[in-house]
Amino acid sequence: MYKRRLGFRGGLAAFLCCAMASMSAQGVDGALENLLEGLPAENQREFEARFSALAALGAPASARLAEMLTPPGAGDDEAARYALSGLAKHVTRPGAEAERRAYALGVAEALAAPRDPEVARFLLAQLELAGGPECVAPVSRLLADPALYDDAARVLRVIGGPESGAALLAALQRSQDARALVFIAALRALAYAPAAETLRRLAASDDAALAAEARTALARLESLDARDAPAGAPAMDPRIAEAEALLARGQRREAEALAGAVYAEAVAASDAMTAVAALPLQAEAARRGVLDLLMTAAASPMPEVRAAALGLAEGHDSRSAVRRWVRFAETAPEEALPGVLRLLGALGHGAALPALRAGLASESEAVRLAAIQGLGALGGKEAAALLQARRPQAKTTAEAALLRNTVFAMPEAKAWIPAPDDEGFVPLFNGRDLEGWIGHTLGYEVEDGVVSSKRVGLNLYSEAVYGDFILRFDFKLTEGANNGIGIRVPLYGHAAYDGMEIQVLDDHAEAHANLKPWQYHGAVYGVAAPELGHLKPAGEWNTQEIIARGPSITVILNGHTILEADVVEAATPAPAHGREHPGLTRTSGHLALCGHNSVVSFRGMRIKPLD
Amino acid sequence: MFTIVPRKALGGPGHTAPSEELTKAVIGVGGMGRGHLTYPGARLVAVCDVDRARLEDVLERTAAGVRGYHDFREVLARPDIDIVHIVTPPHWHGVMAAAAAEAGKDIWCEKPLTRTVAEGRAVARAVQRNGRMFRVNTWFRFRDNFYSFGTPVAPIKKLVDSGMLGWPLRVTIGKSTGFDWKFNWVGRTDLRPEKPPAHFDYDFWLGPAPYKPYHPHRTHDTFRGYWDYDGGGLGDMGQHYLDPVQYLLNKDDTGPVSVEVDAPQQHHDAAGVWRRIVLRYADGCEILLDGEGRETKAPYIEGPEGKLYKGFESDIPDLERKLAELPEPAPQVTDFAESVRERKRFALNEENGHRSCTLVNLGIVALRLGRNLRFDPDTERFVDDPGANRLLDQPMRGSWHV
Repeated sequence: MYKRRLGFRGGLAAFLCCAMASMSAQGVDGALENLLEGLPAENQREFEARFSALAALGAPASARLAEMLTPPGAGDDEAARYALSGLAKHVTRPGAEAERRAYALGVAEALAAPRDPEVARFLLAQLELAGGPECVAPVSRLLADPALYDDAARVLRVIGGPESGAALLAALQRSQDARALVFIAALRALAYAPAAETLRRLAASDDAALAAEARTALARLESLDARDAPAGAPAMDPRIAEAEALLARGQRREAEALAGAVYAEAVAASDAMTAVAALPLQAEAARRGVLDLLMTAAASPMPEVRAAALGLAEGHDSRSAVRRWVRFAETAPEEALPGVLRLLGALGHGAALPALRAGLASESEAVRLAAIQGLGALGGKEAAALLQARRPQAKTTAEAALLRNTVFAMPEAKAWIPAPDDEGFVPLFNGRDLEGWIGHTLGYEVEDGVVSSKRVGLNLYSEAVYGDFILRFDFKLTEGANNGIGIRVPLYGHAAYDGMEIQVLDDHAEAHANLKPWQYHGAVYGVAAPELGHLKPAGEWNTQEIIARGPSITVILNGHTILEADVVEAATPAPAHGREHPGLTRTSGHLALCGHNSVVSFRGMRIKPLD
Repeated sequence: MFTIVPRKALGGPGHTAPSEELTKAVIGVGGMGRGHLTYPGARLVAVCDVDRARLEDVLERTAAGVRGYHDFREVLARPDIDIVHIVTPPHWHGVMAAAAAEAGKDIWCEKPLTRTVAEGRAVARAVQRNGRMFRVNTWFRFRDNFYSFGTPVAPIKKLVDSGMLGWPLRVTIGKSTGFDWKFNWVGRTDLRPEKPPAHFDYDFWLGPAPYKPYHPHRTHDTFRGYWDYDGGGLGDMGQHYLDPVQYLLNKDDTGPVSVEVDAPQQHHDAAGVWRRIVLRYADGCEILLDGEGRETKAPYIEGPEGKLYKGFESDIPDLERKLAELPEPAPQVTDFAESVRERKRFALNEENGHRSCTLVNLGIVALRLGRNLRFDPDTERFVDDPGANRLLDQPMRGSWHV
């Protein structure tokens, strides 16, 4: 946990200045780092100060924090969780609507990328506290996710409003068994009147549990008990119920006429609630021209109506429908485009590719993100190729993260693992960012192919796991530097003892003059001592190779073999450092860069697995 | 200790025929639940638990006629059961109590009555709508010596009602006045997911609570450390300590108008420690929950005219004689079997129990949010704080509801 108690008053003032000074990506990271270090806040005053600063960083901070979340037990994301949950509490205080909205949008955006379900549930729990109408559309998409639909439905329940009701109703109409029960419960809690027709149908279901839930929900909707109605909910236009009844009796023409009239009036009056209630009825009753109706609605200036139309459109998935939506996308208003692109992905036809490809290159980030989601939903070789090709051109962190996560979730992505070079080595860094590495990413930076630990840097772990391998890299020390290459380490343990650490050290520094032999550069820390004298001075690049074959570790520095050890033998009867060292017998694990509060740079790090 | 005695062993007038005996079921047979098995007044006929090992263990130690259940709804469906004891963690109390009331059962529910204020109000409505008898499992307002006083609450009530302390009053609840806030009930923030044991239905145990991966520290003996199920030491002891205060201050039909907290930022999942919580009423009465033990010299209750310390020490001269001359407080129904048979509301029932549990839940919401809050005891909602109101009434998982 991050908890350093420096002089509170002066320290807090200083880093608040830092935090507010810059909104650049560098500034956000630096400010975040400082603000996270003091969490959890000791009292209300400190909480307000810290979280005001955090909230001022806006949506980029929420996005960065969300990137730091790890599944339980897989990492130390406690500071990020204190930060995100603290923000949710802070922005829901009275009079902070703009902050609340920015925070909620940041979290909702983070939910757009596929994540570990527990991390997604944590984010949804924050929206249960802080989410508002702006979250309905992104959260509604998760109603289709088998792991998250319940949590998503609960968020929609607390947000309330006709858009939430419409989304839940649409989800109910598409689902069966356990999910339907959840959606019915949510619709009952919202007392969402337009659900009545669907509930009536379900009340006659063969499934006893489903029928019982539907009846209970109907009883609440039909009771019209003012005491139970949610505060401030206006009464639904009674013609809606009339149109439902007409439809139920098979009088489609009359139902279509009535629903159409109500819809047109509602649109003219900007009454989203009534329009959203009328649209599905009109769409169901219409014998012809449904797609025209939905396309017009999908271009509505009212986001609730657009969302309702696109939800209904998912049921019309013929190739010709897809082609029509592709043409629609060419001239659709910009605020309608993200929804349409996601719809195209959901409809599942390759004919959607032109529109999605165009969306990837849009000037609008919202459109680009939607195109990525659409391509991810569509799947297939071409979609995967388009996404992979887009990755180097990502304009924002959110886009890069979404691209990475979407591509990695696709089976076709296996083809994109970097191919080995002529000698069989695969690069471990892409030269631009820390893709492929997790842990204290805030403590490292990448520039022009060089990865450096910062002074605050702690451990950075490879996502991938290796057993036997040859690792090659160049490195450059600063004066007095101390780092280490962890090999075969578990995530987040103590690299040196839970795995092994090949020491990276400025041997020449005065402070390092009298260390134990197994503490110098190239040592298997605590176990086997290296030959000294081949390390270049601080500021110059060195070349190193580490060969790990079972218990046999070889370290070659600037062409000289400085260590050749069998670590199991070397640690018999006991390791030199005198402690338990379970990592000596591990056969595989992650690589780690073990930052020890100094600046060390690496380049060209590449690996050749030997298994 | 109540034992089941066969009818033929009883003789003469005054015996209770089995057909007139009240019957009970106990839902939740963990630590507290096993205590409920032998509470007097009704014959045990059913036990229920989602941990099969605990259930079977208890069945081995009860009479042959007691049946075991996994699903509490089957218990509620039995027409021959009069009273259900709800001894689950608090996140289930609301759902089970409301369902039991709808099923026509009388209810003996563990404290804290409910995990949220909205559930408490819904339970009270369900109990009243169905004409059921209800009691909470705390008792200091009517029975037993009250912690460090060496006396029950009754003489304290006489003192308050007499006006000898003046008005308004301030009550301090902490180490120095004889109350322990049980800060051992903190949750862990480093839980790694584990597989639940085969005999434990974790999904059912969670019920209305959000899904989180299983870890033994979340359940069984340590659930109090997690906001999803309870509220740390405040949730554990709060209603024991605060229900008598509402009784003393004549506030059984109302509640505080503000809550202030002094605590570190709380974790989103694990309940932590706190330093101080202050609840204030519209008339100036105040309850100070002293977590730190800072108020070393405070009396338990003080007003402008007098003070009462633990051990029943006071600065009012000749107090015992003066109290002896005063009438006793109004009588209360203190036998639940009598309450059930005669359909007379119990001393600590769904209404005043919900009101005193509300004090606990106000503290918990303020702690979790990390800010001071104002409350309207008539609408039972926070004033001008929609975020706080989201913690008053939280949606449940699946299709569970109150």
